[in-house]
Amino acid sequence: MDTTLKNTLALLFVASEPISRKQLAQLNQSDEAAISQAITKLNDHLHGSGLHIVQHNGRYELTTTSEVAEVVATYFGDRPNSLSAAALETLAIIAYKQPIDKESIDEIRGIASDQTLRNLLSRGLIAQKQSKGKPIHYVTTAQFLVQSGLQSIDQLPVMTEENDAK
Amino acid sequence: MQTGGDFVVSQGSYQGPLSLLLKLIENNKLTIDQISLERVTGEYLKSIESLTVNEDEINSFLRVAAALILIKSQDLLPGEASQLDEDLPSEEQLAEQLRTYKRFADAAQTLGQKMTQPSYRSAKIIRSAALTVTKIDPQQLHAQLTQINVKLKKQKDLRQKPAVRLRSLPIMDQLKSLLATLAAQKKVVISDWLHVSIEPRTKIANFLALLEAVNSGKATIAQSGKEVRWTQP
Repeated sequence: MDTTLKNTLALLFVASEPISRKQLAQLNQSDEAAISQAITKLNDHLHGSGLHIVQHNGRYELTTTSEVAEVVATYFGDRPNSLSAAALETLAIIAYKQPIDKESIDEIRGIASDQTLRNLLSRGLIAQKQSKGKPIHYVTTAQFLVQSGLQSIDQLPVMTEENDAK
Repeated sequence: MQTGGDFVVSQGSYQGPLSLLLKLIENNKLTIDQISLERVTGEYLKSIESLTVNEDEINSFLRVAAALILIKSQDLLPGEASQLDEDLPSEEQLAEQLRTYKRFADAAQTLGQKMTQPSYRSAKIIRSAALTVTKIDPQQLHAQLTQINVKLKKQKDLRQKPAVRLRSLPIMDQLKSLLATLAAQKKVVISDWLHVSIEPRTKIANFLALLEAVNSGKATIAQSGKEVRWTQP
């Protein structure tokens, strides 16, 4: 394993919070493109190990994979933290359509989503994104990735096609 | 539980009008198209009769009900091209909305399964976060706690929003009625004024009107305690 890979993995292991690509590049005295490549190689290397590197908004953190969720949950004495069906629906809409405003979410669900949005915000699974003069839009967070065991938002399962939905 | 036809719809197992509609279509083993929307209209209307939801939610259910009734009426009166209400979705629009909803409902189910197997961050993150707290500013902490209290109160107020809009009953109307009765008959029997057959909300207003009449000196309570008497000349 080359130096950049070793350094990056070590830094992700010891970091107390997600590290930005920029900071990793600085620490490695390298550039961001090289870091992106290093992360891809590291994830290939870690495949099947029970660990992976999660990427969100240009920041990275080392987490366990969903394959080992059960044993880790047992270790921590965790109980499943379930979301209601309404919250999951809202979360799925935001995950696939982000950034998306409340009106669009309500349109898809056919019902107001105020309460479920508050619930998801309080759980840290979604965040608000506001641009001047535009309504608030919602996006998923790094916490969402961690809780769904995804490495990045690109790893969301493919939705059914419109024909399949009939 | 609400029964309709050969199936059972359980309150709380659907998350809105589209969820209910979808469940009815699936329970009848139909596909999402204009014909199935017409067929489940009756069952949908029956299902929403006993819903316990807040006012915002019931409006959503009623909007879809209105769209379904319009669709059904157009089937019964073929050739009627004009819509009664342009704000309601057409048959095609409702079917399309339902298909879109189903895609996201399916995606939500898959997501839910994924969330039963989450990733975990290093426990160091939790420990180091605790260790980095070195200086607490009491004023800042107090301000933040006050903000949290305000937010919690707002959330609590929203949760306590009544499921049904309450009717207001002006006490003044009841007081005027009482004073008019006292002026004409010189007395009112309390048990009649607060009779058990009177609707509770009105009874409370009547009682408050009695108190006001006595407090303002326009009436007094008889020694027997059973009547209120007119004091005005």
